[in-house]
Amino acid sequence: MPDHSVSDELARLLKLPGPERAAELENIAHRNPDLAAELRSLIVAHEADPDFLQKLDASGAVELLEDDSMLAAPERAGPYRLIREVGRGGLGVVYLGERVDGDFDQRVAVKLIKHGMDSAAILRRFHNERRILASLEHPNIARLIDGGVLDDGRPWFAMEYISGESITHWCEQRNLSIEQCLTLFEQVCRTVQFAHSRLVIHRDLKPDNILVAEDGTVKLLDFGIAKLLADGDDDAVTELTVLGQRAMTPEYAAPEQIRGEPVAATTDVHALGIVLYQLLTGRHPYLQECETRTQLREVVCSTLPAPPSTVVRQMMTDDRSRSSRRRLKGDLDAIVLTALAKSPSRRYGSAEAMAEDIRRHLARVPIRARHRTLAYRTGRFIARNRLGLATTGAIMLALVTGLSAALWQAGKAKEQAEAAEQSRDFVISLLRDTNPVRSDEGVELLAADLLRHAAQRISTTEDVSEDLQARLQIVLAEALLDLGRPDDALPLAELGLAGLREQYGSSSPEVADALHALARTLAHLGQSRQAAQAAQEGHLIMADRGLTDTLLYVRLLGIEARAHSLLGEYDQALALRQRIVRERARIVGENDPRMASAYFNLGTAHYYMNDFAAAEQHYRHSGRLLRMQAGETHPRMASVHNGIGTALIGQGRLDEAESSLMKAKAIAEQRLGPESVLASEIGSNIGVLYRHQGRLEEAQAILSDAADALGKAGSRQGQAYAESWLALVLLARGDYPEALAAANAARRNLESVSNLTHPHYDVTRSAQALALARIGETEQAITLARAVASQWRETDAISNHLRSEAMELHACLLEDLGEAQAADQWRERAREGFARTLGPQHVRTWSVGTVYLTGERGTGRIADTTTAIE
Amino acid sequence: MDSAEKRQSLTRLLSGKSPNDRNVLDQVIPLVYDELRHLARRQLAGNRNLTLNTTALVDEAYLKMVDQEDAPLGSRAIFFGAAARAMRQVLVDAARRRGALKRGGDQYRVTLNEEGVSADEFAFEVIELNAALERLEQHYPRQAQVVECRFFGGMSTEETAQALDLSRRSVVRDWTMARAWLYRELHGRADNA
Repeated sequence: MPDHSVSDELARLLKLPGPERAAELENIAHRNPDLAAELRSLIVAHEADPDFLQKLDASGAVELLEDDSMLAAPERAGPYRLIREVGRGGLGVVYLGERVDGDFDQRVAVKLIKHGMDSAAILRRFHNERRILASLEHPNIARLIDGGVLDDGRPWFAMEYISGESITHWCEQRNLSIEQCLTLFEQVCRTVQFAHSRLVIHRDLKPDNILVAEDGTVKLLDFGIAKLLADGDDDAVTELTVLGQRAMTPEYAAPEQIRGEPVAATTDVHALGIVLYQLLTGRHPYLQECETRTQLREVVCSTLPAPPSTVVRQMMTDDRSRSSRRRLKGDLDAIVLTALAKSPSRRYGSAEAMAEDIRRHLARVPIRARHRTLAYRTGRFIARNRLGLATTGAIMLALVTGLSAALWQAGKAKEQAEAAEQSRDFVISLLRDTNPVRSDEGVELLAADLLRHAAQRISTTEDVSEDLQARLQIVLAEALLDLGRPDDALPLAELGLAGLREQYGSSSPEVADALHALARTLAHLGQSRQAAQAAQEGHLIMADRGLTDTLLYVRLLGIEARAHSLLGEYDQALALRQRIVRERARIVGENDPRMASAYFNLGTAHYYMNDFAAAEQHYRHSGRLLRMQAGETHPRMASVHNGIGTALIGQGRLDEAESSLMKAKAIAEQRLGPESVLASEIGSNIGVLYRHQGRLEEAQAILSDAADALGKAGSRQGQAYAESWLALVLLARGDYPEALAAANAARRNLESVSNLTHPHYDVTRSAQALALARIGETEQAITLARAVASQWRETDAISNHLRSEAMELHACLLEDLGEAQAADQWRERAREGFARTLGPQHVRTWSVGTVYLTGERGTGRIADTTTAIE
Repeated sequence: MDSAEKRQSLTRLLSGKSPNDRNVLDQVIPLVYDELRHLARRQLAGNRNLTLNTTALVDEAYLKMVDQEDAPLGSRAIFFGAAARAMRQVLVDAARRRGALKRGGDQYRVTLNEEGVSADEFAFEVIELNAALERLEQHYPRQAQVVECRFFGGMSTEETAQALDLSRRSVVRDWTMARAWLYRELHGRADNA
């Protein structure tokens, strides 16, 4: 039958409604039964999926062609003939090759970099690899022999060809005992350590790269994404980091690799942990729980794997499992879990340390990891047994032991400020683990009690040196602070500081460390002035000692900056924030993800200086860095979008501000919950924006929700700000009793946190006065308004736009009282203030005296004004 | 054959021949095939956001490979038809190579799929579809050509109509019919339902 008839008939039939179609098919069947049958079945097929095959699946095609391009095997690479493919990785294909000239009978593995990836960066990395591998002469590392570039631009290199099996396969096939596996694995650790000692990190360790040759020798392959730790060039480091992320194998990646953070020797330790886990249990620690790579990434970053001993329990029930379970429980669980710690600082510090513990285990000597694990378990134990007070003594002992050990380590490395800091952080993080759920009162109390006991014991004991005593006091002060006990922390920090001053003299880094603890404590207690002083003394010491490249130095600067900001000394805060960015950038490079919070804080400092364009710029840069590290929906991205939104409000770019704030709100609500403090603070800012736009009804709704939620969450300050804005909106809508209630509430909240110098305190009281006047309480209103206005200095109006808000309210009150001239003067000051802080074009500047404030003139007028202005 | 020679013979082939002349297509395809593969690769290398713009690809190949001065009007349409077939060939060959490798490859790899269709699955589908399309060709050669243009060539109804010298309406109808036919072929007959 001709082509046309079927297509045409089908099209015709598909247009007909059911009964007519059936009748028509009958007609056709009389003429041509075959055609009718064909049409009938095509109709069924069409209706089963009308969109079938509409479009080529681009991602599938792309992946297929991309992979296929690797298969376009050249016949030769340099002097080598390629015999066959032997493997593939993320970066390319590996071929078995042999020399064409046959001068020597040498078989090599030729690694050919994938097509489409041959950018200049890959080439540079490839050249790095050649250089690095050439320096890695070791019997257990596959040697680099040669390298070059093909005519089509693809780089290749030839490595020693290893005929072997992956270590997991080798152990499984030969049914090796745990001891035999460990002996082999210890060799792997030592080999990795050798590379580390040459400043080479592998970054892609996995069973496929750890082969065992026929004679039982371990061979490490493919230092393909290694980089030289010592490479100082910041650009190169950043680039390598990003590339490294792409080139890694997700199944063996460490959390920091997944997050795109820089890698270190401890990254390889994590990979070794996964391989050891597989050797011991026959299972990957995470894969069982995941179906997709996205899930895997989440699990690797957030979920602790089951201890190997429990996995064996699930897998087998026979005698052999019982014995291997016993075997695994304890040392081996501890070794594996230490290597797999989420935070690099809690893993083995080196592959050698891991090897050492394996040797200790094999020699039946106590391993080192258990020490940490004991404290760790103690923490878990406390978390599980909130009411187990009877055991408090034992736990305390364990904690103190843990602290002492950590401090002993810190003491040993005391010339290395950074190392000491790390062990201190380690101890503090241990203590944080005793307190896994902040909202869980019971746990917090118990942990804090323990620490107080520990503090007492340390202060009275004579067993420890005065040096250690002082150090322990500082550590405990920080721990108490982390548990929300600044009152208990303060005397300890002071004692510790005094002790260390005596021991080391007032200008030692130890004292700077203690000053850091003290400054933090003071800041928590709201003693900003003293906090700033302590922090300043600390960073001056560090600067004197040339220790400006330490984290401690930067933290001290940060505490001082925050304190100045709280004191309203925004220019000083800004100068410090700029210094922090400079110092950090010098160390890690300005595009390092770790710079995200430094830029964020710099943005905030600019914001307070009314430089909203600069604020926006720094917030945006912070966002770029954070996004690179943590993705678009990380909760901190909500803060970033919020910052951008407020900076845009400051610039009067209200539509853009709205879209940023909405983004912020969506992320905060999704990640932290709609009632969370951040989501509500963002809501509060949206309320301010709506007010500027004249959307008073919406502004009222969102501000009052935000105020409620912030109150529930215990954020009195945040609640006060929301209520203060709410009072302004209610005044504009003419609802004076409610406006008064909101202003009263805001004032109470500000007074309860003794924040009486904040400009919002003026706004609140001015709103109170106006609302009082409007409900007829004129005398009260006048008294209050006088009190507020008498405090205003000339500079107030032009330093903060909130003061201008207050002044405009004041003008309204005067106008109500018939003092038109005075009212005009205040309005002029308000206008000048807005012009200076927000700019002459800002909606608040030109809207002074026209909108917002009085019931009669407020509602709905903004639209008119907008038209008039345009 | 170097690229200048290719260019000459392509231009010659596209002159004055009927677009449906199988001989022409069969001669054009090998000339176009390598170029398309090459361009596809380059397009993929340039963007990491996983898009394959087949039309742009074919356009580029055409500009590069056919002498615009000498080529008669309508050559572009014919070239597109041929290129669609070549694209089909490119994908099928890649899928076959992948399949062959899989069978010989390491079965014990620990891997997970990214969300979306994996290359393996896609390769399998391409091979299945190609086999079904070969059967469609035997019964309804024109509809099969429409599938080539629309699906593998990424061409619009208009472009397909020009390349195959059909009316737009016919292209629409053939495309509907062919998709139903292929669905039936790939999912089994549903007559009993």
